[in-house]
Amino acid sequence: MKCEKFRKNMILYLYGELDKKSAEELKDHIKKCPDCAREMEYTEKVFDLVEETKTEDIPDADWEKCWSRIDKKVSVLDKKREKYFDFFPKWAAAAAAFICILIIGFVIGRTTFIPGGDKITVAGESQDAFQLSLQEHFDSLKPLLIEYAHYGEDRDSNKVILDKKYVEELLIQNILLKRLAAEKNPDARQLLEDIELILREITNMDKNGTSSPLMIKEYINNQGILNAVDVRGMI
Amino acid sequence: METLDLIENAQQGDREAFYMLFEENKKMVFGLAFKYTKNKQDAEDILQDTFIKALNGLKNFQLKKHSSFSSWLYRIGVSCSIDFLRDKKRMKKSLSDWELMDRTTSDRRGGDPEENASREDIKKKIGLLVDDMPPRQKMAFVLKHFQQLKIREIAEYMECSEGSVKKQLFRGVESIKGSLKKLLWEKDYEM
Repeated sequence: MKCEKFRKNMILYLYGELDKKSAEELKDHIKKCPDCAREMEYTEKVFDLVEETKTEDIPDADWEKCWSRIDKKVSVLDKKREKYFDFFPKWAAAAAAFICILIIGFVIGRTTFIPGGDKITVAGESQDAFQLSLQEHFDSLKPLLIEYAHYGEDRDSNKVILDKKYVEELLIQNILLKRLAAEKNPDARQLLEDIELILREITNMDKNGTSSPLMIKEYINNQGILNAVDVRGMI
Repeated sequence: METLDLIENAQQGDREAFYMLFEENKKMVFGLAFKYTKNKQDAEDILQDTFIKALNGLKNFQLKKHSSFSSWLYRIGVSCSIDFLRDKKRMKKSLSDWELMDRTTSDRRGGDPEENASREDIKKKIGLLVDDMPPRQKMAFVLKHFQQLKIREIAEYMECSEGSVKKQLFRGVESIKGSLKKLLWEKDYEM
């Protein structure tokens, strides 16, 4: 067996997960091979150092806040299920309707979507730059939110933006702004969290089938997201 | 109430039962997420994603198929953590001009560990090297080194083969060894 194989086995040996026979072979080899003996010593030293970096103190999370967010999200899902599964008892009909909406939404969304809002905004270091980025982000979000907020209200409004790449970029930008908001503007954080939920639902809409434009519409309206975005965008 | 009853009630839509399952398992999931991200806020986000995903999949959860509810939940936590880190890495890549990234970069530049590296410097360097690992490699590494799990268990939680876990661990350890060689090898083992 070549040294290379023994070196792979060294790691398993130090984990205590090398079988007896291979462990004996490794020990015999180390006695004869000074390079491998040195490598073994070095690997052990690295393992010791890694062990020292272990985080033993795990802080307490804000459990109440975490649960309330889970509860909020789950309530929206529950409402949607109650409402729509009762309404459309046949799975096939619901699925067919969903797929139609998806295709129509995708086609219309692609043609009516105005490009340019998908650029990632660059912020400076100042608070002003952060506020400016926040405002630009909200401006980019508004057409999407308005479209979902008025979903199904008239014959032409059952179209939704489903340009996934665009929504994903908005989501990434939103996540980053949410993190920055923790330091720079804690008040905006909650709003950005709500928006993150919406964007995640939109991006997952065709993945798990648990989200729908109507559910998103309900969430936007119940939480007063559009109004909040308008108010925040002006600050 | 027994866990089994709680699961059955939660499957019927009993929110109180699901809350009790959350109470029973929240520390385990948060602990995993915190060790993986080393960031309280990120770990809280992962905790929420995990329980929302768990609730969505609860109706299809079968105790017989899984060793226990907590191990099923742990597996979801592992998957949510990896997804979270993937998003974060993608975000950092896309938005490298942002000040957050600048700060991270400058933190990484702070001091030259190659010169007069103390034990603390080396540990800090290891922390950064672990952070920079690809998400799945980092998960395998964290579960092995910081959660002391067996390779078989890691494979189960990461839903891959034991060979794949070994490969990830080997690559992870080798990358750390390679980066520290200058610091440790030449210092202590030069002949």
